[in-house]
Amino acid sequence: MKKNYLSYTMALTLQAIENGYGYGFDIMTVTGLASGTVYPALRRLENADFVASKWERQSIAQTEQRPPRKYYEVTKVGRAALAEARERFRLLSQFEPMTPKKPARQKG
Amino acid sequence: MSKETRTRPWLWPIAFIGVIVPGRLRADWRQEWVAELRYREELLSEWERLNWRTKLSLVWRSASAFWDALWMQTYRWEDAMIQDIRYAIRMMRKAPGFTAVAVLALAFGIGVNTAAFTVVNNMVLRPMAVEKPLELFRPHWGSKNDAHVWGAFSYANYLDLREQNKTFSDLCAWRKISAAVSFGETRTADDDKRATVMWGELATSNYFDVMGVKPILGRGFLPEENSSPNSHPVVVISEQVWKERLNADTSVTGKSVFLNGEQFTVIGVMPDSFLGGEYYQHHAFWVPAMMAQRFGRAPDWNTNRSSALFKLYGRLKPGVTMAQAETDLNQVLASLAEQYPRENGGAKIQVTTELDGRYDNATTIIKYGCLLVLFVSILVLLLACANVANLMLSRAASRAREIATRLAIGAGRGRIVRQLLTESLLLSLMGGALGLAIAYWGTVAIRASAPPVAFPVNLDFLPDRNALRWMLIVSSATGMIFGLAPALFASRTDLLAIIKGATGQSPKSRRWNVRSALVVAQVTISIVVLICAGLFVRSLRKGLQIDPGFKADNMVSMMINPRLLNYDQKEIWRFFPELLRRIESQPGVRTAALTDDLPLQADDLFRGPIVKEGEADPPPNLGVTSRCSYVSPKYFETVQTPLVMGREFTERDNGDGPAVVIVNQEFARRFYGSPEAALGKRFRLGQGTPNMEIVGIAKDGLYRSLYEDRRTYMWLPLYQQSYADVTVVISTQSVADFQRVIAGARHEIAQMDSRLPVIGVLAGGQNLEIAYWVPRMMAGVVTTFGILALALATMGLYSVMMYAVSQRTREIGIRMALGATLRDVLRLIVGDGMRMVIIGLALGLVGAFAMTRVFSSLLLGIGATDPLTFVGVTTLLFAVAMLACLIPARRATKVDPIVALRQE
Repeated sequence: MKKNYLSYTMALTLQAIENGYGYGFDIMTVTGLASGTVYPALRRLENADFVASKWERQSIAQTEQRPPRKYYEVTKVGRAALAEARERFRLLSQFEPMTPKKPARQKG
Repeated sequence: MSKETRTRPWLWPIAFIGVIVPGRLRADWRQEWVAELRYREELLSEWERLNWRTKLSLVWRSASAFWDALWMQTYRWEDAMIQDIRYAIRMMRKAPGFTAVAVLALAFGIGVNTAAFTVVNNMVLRPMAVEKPLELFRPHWGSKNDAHVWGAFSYANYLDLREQNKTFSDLCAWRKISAAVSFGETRTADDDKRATVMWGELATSNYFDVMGVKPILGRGFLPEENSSPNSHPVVVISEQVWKERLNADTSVTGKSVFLNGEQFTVIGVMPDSFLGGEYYQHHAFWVPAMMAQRFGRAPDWNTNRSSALFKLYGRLKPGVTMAQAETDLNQVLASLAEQYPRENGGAKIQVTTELDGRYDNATTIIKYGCLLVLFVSILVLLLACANVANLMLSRAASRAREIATRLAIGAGRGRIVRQLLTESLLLSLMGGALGLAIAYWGTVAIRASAPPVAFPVNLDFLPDRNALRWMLIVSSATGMIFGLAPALFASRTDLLAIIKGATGQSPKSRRWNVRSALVVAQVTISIVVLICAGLFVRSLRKGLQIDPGFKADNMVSMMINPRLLNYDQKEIWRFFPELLRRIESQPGVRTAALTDDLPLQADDLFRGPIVKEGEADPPPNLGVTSRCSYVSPKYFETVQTPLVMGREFTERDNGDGPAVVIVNQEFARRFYGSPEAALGKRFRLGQGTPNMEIVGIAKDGLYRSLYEDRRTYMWLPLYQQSYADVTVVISTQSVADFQRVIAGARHEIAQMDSRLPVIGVLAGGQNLEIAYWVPRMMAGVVTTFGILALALATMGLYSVMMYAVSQRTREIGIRMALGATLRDVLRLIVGDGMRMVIIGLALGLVGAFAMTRVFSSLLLGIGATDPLTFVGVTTLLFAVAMLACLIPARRATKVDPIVALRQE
């Protein structure tokens, strides 16, 4: 069973991913949600196919000498759900896209 | 940046927490978290903010992976176990017939087991609903002559025992009483009309503390409320009365309730879980023992040491054993015996746990019956298990190819065994769930069969949490038992042979394999169960033919007690003869009489010692006593018990006349040698009582239960006794008159005193239902088990024979091609089957001989090795087994040799 209704937390998490914060920690920092909230929300979003997770290419990780990373992206369905959720949760729109404060991450 | 050398304590929790993530996802999960944490670490160092504070926060964040790991638990649904279950369900749906038969067999097995356990649990295992029920002990009083004693204590002796013992932390005393109860703030003339008879208890002030129950409203008794006679009319009521009669009024304390017409103040309400001192009854009220006179006790009830009215409960001091407590009480008793040799000499005290003393002298036989039922029901369950194991085995054989394939492509044996175990556990849990429904229905049926008794019996037999737990244990255990063997068996198959197309079994094991052994076991068990059933059915039939010594066919009975309305004894003695005269004048009535209790309906009254005229009293408490009843004139005519000699009581046998007595033949034989010698002789009941002349000898009968041996019995004239709680017995002219006679009698009672409650109205055969309840129950329950056992065993045999025939099609084909006749084939198959049956029969008969001996005391009129039952049951089983073999054998004869040979 896939849940199609977005709670505020889930919508917020989804918006954060849409804005380019692809990691759990980033989402926590930017939304101010607790880790016990963000991760279940992520898993649920993934379950509902609103976000897709991708593993970084092995070669990149190897050159950087670290384990490959997993990051999340909003899917088409997720974008539609987010648009619908923004109607309900007006505050979501005030959310700013990721600032180019730090170097853009490489995507694999 | 030296990423390699840095210690990263924030990564440790990940390795640790990862253990609880489902195995399938664990590696990914760990990697994601490690990468994430390292990414953060990288960012922090890029921002040049990787100080001890952010490091600590990293550790803290990593610990939060725990929540994520917890959430991952939901993915376990895709784990191997769930796969097993889903696969098992698919397999079941593929073979609905197999599933239905297996589940039904288990459901009946588990169902009767749970029902039996529920009954046993409620009757003999479940402790009372009080605080620390297992630490509650019961002292009993009796004569040194008896090995076990179950008697009650006099109040004065109770006080001394409580005062002087050194081992009990406290002892309380109580006695069952009945009272006419009415409710109402103010008393009006009509109140008594609405009075209903209820059962309650006289209790000492420490009663509720010793029992360990707390009122849900108000309080228990205060010590001063039980300090002097008749001074504190206070009452504690049960939750049921409070809800049903007082509308659960929370301000009920301080209000009035009328007991036997006297005003009592309600001081507390006891929870419904507390039934009172008597486990099998539900009591409605409790009053201080000091109010005993209001409930028909003589004024000297608390000082007379021979009026043993009270039962005791006590709790031991820490570290004291039951044996020490018994010794201690007997030491106190020894000194009491010196002080009061007339009442206390020759007495002894026995201490039991509440469970062991629950039904007084009947405890052992009730326990025995219960355990027997439980044992037989376990046999039935074993049968069901054997059946399902058999089905599983044949399925395992037919699934051999599937299993071999799975093994061949790399499944471990453990995995296969686990899969098969999951299937059988799932089957048994389904059987268990259905079984619980059967058990529920069974206990409802048992409760509905309860005999009509006037007091509120506690037959709370619905399966409770204990029964549910038992059901779970039983069904998962059966799952393991019948699942494990076939599972191991199936996983040990020869891969190559099977994939090449051979069947699951090697030819060597065709005749004597596990399945044949199971059939033998089934036949053995079912013959044992069937013989038990046969014995109980025969015993019931014999029981129904037993002449109880009186005739209930035309009998109507009802109970009244004028003392509930505070009649004094003179008024009672005037009331009774007048009432009988009025009832006898009603149309349809032949005769009417009064008795304290009808035979086979209630507890005995013992009186004694029996001392013949001219002989000296025996030492106190050591003489011979006899069972006894108080009856009015015309009693024997009314209940149709013939007098072999002498006469009935007449109205002249009252307080003014000489003391007289009627005894039964056994009494006459025991004390005087013969009825002729006894008639006209005189004896007394010791201790200066007047000599009574034997004026009549009654035919022997049954008095207490159908199971009793011939007993001495005596009847004393009711009008010479200070007694009021009577049963009115009416002999009607015909059965058709019952309703008219009951209405007429009620009318006459109301005419004489409209306030007098009438309870326990029974007509005809109802008067015997109490007595026949146990044999009926036993016969009914065990017969149900027997039919089930027969059905299960037959089913098992049939399926094995069917399977054997299908496996041997080719062999039969060859035999027939080589010239075997139909008769030869028939003989071959039936012979194989019946060999198992005969071995099972032989084993079962030996088992039954050994087992039935144990419960011969529960049988009426037949021995435990009743030949008719043994022969009958053996024949029945043999015939049914023959049928179960013949049908598959007939199918074997239909084998077309050509088709059979081409089958490969």
